[in-house]
Amino acid sequence: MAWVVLSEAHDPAAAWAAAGLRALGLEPLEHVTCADLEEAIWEHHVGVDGARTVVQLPGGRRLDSAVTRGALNRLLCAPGLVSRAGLPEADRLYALHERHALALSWLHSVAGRVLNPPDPRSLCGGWHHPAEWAVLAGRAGLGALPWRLAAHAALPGGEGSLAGDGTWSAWRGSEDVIVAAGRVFSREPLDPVTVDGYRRLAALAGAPVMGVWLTAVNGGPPMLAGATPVPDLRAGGVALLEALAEALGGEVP
Amino acid sequence: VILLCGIPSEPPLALVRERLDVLAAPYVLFNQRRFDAAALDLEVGASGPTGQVVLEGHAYPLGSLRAVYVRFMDDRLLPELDGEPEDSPRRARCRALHDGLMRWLEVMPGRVVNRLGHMGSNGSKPYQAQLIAGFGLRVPETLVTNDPAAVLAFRRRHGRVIYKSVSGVRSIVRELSDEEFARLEAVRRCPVQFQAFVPGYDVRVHTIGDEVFATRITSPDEATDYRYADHDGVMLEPITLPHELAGACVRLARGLGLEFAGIDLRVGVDGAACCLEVNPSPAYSYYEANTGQPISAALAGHLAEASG
Repeated sequence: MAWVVLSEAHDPAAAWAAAGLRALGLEPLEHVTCADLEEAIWEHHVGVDGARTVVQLPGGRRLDSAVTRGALNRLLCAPGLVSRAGLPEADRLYALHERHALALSWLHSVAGRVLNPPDPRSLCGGWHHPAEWAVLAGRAGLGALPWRLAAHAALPGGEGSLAGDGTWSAWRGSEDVIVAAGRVFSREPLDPVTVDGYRRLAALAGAPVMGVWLTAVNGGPPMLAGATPVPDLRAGGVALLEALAEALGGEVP
Repeated sequence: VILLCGIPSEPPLALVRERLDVLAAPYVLFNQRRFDAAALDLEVGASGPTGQVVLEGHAYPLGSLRAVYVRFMDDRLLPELDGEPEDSPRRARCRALHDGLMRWLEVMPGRVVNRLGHMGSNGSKPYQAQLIAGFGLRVPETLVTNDPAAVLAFRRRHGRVIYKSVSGVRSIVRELSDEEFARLEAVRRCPVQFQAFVPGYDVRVHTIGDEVFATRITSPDEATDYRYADHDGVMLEPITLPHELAGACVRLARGLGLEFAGIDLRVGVDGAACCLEVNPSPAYSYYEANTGQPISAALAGHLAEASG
């Protein structure tokens, strides 16, 4: 198999991207979901010759990291949790860590480009706490809403609510800006300096594919209010698919 | 000012504190067990973090804290929270305080030993092995699988094989004995990591910035994991690494973003070193106590250097 789209079981944007990338000539391409990986047989080697992973999927499909030319990676959590639902909590957590650790190493072993590349905090890469997004936005030359630790939570005599509530709201619907492999797509027109800022942000965040939500406070300029490494790609249409196809090593007509 | 975080009686933290006293370097301590006497006011914007931390009644602007040594234990397991209901305000406040501190440590501009984001590679041993190999160090032949047939072939190829967790959880190394080999079908339930056994001896390398402290560990019968061997038979001695290998260890730690690292090497009978893993929060005191290597002094110096 040359290309693969990896996603959760219910990810319409991933299904759309898989179909669109095939239409652009990225064949053969498999759309593999977490559910497909539940009963997979894994063989993952690391050694002096590098790393290689072969995943046998039910139904005879096979993923081989050595011959995978590119992957659109939207995996949020490690596969294999559903079938372990009956385990005691400690064993379930152990299995979760083990599966995550294997999936991370597998994704890192893929020979072709992986968008987004995984990192230890997130299989689909580019996950950052809102406080980090704010700082990254600053480094990229973009404005961002400040993230505040709920002051009463950590001061003596406080009410004890959890930190970080109130100012940021990630994972909330379709994004205002999407960056995909160096191309920037936005709901509203952006000036070239801001476009470059989003490119820098994606690079700093380790997320070649990312979505951003903006908000304007008191009529001021739009500021970063949330970000995700798994945006709804459909908003970018064919132009976004072409950017992905090119980045994944396809020969886009 | 330097901030020390953790439990003051824990040896790695206690040793650094002693060395900072010798250096007369200014430091403050966040004693996790005294979380009731601590508070954090934190705002993080595009220009960075601002706020203050209050410890034992004294307020310190976050901008005045230029270096941090972190030895946090899981705050949810603090003895002071024994008997607290899961949803108690005190427990939630303790969690929020620790979470806020960790968030600040990720974005504060000074020296942090070590930042959480840089410690993550240790959570997946084969992933970390790939990174290690990328820095030019040899890694043991490794197989992670849930296929008994693949284990069979791996053992046939390598002979002596050890197994351990893929993640950092329940990380004890054992040799795959004939008895365990007989119940290999169990791997179908969850993938397991197998490695070719590397005959030889262990070396723990502590890197602190550009400084390197190497300790040779000789254990009885070439124990698969000397940490769990009978300590009466374990011998530790300071050694000097070949220049090239020492440089590779420094580059590896720096490449992983680790100010302080504990790198586990296995030196084979051919004299070649194989890197088993990199520990991002090494409990170095065991090595210092047994060899006299001035690891805590180097660590204190590293912190003091950054605090100006």
